[in-house]
Amino acid sequence: MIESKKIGIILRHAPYGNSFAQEALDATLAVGLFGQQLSLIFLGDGIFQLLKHQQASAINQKTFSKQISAFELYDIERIFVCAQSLAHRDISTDSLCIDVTCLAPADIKKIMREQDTLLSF
Amino acid sequence: MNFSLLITSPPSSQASYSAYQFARALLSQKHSLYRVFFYHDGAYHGSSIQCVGQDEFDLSEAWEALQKEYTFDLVVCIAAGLKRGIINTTEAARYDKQQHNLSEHIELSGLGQLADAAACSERLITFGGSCG
Amino acid sequence: MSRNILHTVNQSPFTSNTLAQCLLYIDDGDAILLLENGVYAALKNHALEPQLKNKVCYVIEADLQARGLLEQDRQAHIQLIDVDQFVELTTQYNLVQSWY
Repeated sequence: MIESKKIGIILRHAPYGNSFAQEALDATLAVGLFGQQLSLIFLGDGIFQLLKHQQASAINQKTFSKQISAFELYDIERIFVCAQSLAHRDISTDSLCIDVTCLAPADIKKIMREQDTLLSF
Repeated sequence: MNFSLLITSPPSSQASYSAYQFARALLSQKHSLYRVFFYHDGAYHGSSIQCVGQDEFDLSEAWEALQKEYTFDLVVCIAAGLKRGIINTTEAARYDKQQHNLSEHIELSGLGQLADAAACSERLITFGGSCG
Repeated sequence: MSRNILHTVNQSPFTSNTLAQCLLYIDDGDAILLLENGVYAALKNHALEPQLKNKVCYVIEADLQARGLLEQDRQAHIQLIDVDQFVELTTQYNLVQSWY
């Protein structure tokens, strides 16, 4: 029997430079389908995955922000972004394509520790 | 304790060697290994045609020997494998490719196997990072 | 219920901000394991040394040995371990976060 678990997915890489962030997104959606309680935690360059106005057709890739809107369909609602990662990159939450919970590192620490398992991407 | 490993690094990265060493150590300590899931560039572990120098460590052979000694799943994510040219006979036929190269002891399967491993294992350890 | 995390770092602090990022999210009760190229962080006098001082830190001895670092001055509080002890650490800490 598969018990219900709290799974935290840590997302730290910028999109498009290689396929890593795309594959992390695919894994996120697959884990989301599995019915576990997911928390997505965007840190560092991972926050760039959430920027509005991405047009990846310019480099013949799939646009990230369009796929991220699928989070709602998968009932992925616990989405956290590190406030310091945003500030360090001069990005505000207004520039992000979905609603997120923006937290200081001290509170991100707490979210990480609430999980049963962390998937590190 | 019951472990699974997620390996996103290619065989050329030391992270992949660390993962193998970790697996071997946990099994010798009588823990159980549920699944090793190769994802992203980790899919390259699925190749049966890597030619390793005689004075180099053969990671593919090492995983095969470890799996023969203990029972655990070695899975390459099918999506990651396909785009990297790691395919079995079924996928070769499906995509009309003349070659296939998946190692016999490795299974090609979907991301559901990763989700299952995350749900079923007490510890899921990720090994990653490029060779740089 | 709050859990303790074992953070593994495998990137050199001289080429990557991975260790710096890790240090933002580490808490009391957590530990850091340096492995592969991350073991260069065990050297002294680099920018992140002050932040490592009061943390529980481990380093894979074989990775130090491979890189000729056993003969270099290193931070004294960082404990040398082998892969068997790495496995034990992952059973002692509730969670493992891999920084790479």
